[in-house]
Amino acid sequence: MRRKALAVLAVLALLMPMFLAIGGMSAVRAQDASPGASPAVDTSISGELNVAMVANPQMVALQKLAPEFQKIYPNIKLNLLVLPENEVRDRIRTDVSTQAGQFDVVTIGMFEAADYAKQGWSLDVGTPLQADPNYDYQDIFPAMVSALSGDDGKLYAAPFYGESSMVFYRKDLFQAAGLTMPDKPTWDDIQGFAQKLHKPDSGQYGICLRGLPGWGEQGAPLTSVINAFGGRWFDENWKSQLASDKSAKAIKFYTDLVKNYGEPSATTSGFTECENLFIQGKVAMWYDATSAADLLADPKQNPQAANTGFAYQPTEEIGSGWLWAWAFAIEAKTKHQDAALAFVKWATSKDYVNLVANQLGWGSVPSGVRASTYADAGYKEYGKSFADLVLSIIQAQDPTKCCVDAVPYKGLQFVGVPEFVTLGDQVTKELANVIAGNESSDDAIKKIDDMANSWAKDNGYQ
Amino acid sequence: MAVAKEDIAGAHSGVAPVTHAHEYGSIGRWLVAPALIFAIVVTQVPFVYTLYYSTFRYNLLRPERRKFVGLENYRRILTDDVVFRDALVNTFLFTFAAVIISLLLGLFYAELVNHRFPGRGIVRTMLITPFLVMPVAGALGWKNMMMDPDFGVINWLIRAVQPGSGSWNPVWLAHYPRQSIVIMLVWRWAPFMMLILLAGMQSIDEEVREAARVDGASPVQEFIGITLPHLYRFMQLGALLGTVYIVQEVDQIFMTTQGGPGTLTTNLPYYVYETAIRGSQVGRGAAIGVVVVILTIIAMTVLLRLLDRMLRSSYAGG
Repeated sequence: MRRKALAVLAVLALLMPMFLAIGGMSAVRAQDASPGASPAVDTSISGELNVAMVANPQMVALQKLAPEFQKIYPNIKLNLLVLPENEVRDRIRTDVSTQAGQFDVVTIGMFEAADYAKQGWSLDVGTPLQADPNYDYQDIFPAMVSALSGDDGKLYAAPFYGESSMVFYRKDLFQAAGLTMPDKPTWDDIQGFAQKLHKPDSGQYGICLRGLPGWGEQGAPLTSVINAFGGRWFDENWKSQLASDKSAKAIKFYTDLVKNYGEPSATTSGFTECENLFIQGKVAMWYDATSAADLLADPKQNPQAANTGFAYQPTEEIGSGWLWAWAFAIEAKTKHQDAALAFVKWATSKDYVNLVANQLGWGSVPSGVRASTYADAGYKEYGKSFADLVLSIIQAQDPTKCCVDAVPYKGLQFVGVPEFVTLGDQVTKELANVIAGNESSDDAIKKIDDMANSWAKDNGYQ
Repeated sequence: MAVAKEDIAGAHSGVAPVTHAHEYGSIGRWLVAPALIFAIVVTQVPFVYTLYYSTFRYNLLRPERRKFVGLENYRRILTDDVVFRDALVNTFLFTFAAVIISLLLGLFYAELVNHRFPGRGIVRTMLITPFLVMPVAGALGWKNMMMDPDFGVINWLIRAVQPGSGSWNPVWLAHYPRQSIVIMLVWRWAPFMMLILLAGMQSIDEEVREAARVDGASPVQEFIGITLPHLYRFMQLGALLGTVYIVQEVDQIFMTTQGGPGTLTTNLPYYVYETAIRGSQVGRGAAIGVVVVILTIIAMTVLLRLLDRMLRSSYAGG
């Protein structure tokens, strides 16, 4: 009996680590500064700085350029932790909310900025940045500043690169089929094109849309379609509107579009997978983040570059896209506030944009944040097929006005309250089941409507 | 939610018979004390914390709403949490299917490389490799290189051998998500079973086999009459360890389906991750964790008892 009890205990001990740290991480330490001939060396600031960043191409470029930061600030020891998005989000959220202080500077987005500020977890970066005339604070798009500000109107995260959403399409396929993409297509146009260009037997699909569960994956394009159709997630009293006529129509439209004319691997496809399918010439259209334009215009990275066309985000009842920026926030618990601020200022400055352009080329520049980037002759030349369009799309977004009807939350492609993660994940999982063909959209809409209402009750909104 | 890591060595020392402990006297007991205290601190203190948190409504992102709710979290999980029930069923299905299939496949592998043939070393290494590949990397390979409907090897083969226009192009992770997860698990765990069973096979006395052959036993009779009975205990060990490890597999799900579509591939570890880590609902997540531990104790007790009975009957039989 004792043996058995012991065995059970041992088995239990083995089962405890249920929360596996999901691997594939790469902790990277910036190289030590080599004594360079840089004119503006600042030895007054010192300290060890831990920065956690999402491993998007723009951040990987920053990682490469970290030695340049060290040349200016030789006494700051910079440790960069660069991880894939899903993973780093979890780690940053846990570190910030428990005030563990593992990191000094973290990348966050518009979903978190205001809330972290309200909880007192992040520091006001706007005030010191405004005080520096060289930083040119006014150059940053107002929509970005507003979406990253707290309720007190102060900026709590400095935007690094920003994006809205747009349509990418293959000009050659459109021409061959005798189709023309309007500058501002409607969702009905898009569906019509997708239908005509969908030839699964020859491995060509009408459109790529994200179907991978996750509030930030499928949730983003889905919500922008709901908003465009005049729908919304919740009414002013936090009663779910997912089953309302307009929202339901939008959800049905989205799932039907992917199911009928989309990529077959939709339920496992997010941004990266769609990007891959587009570059491989498998899809005729792709609706996603404007930040992909920089890459798609580069013939070295996209064999279809010459044939890639760009169009405004589709409209229906209203035009609705999304607005997002990855931004650097300083954790309130940091012991190296000066060093943290020096880093944030360096990484989000105009000089940094020029540094990337000189060293890595315009295709790697963090775009979508500063008007000066779009005024630069070099970027204009590089992005002649898309830069003006992206600029006008980003400038047209208003993060406080997502929907036709009033809503009790902020955010365009998400419901801007911290608990939304759970609901967004659940809802998109259910809809992935519709896309996979295992469930009818009517059944799913009923289910997600109940989910949304019980979520609102659980979290004290209803 | 508490996180505790325990080395596999813990299992061996626990499962191994504790026969001669009394011979070492009280000094021996004191000598184990540091290890015991360490084990308690590392595993049981977090568990107590988990119990404590499970009685709270506590979302990390909304600390102002933190509130003691007693057993409310448990009531919700056991009465109206549909996802929990689905996750429980999925965990059972994944574990059961993966353990059985891995054992059979492992037995086949082991029998294969137990015989001498040129290149045996290379074949053995190749068979073991899946177990050595990082689970995350392996899952990515399955998703993008094997099961992808456009770029995957499996669908390429299906299209190549299909007569006519080739209209059957299944999307594994969408249409057969559970089966796909089981395939990934079997790919990873069959080599582990092979290692255990191969060790068992190699411990069979060659003279016994020879005697059987002299008596005129065919290779099949030899396998059924000698190899299999000898392997029972090794298979039991494989099944036990396999269950313990496969119950907690989460990497494949995280990397491929994110628990979807619907809740078809949400297992308990993934649900705990989703609730506690992704959703920051520490109280709810802790409660799920506690329920999982209790269910595991029950399942393991039953399993151990079954194994014990099988072991005794196989002794009687042999």
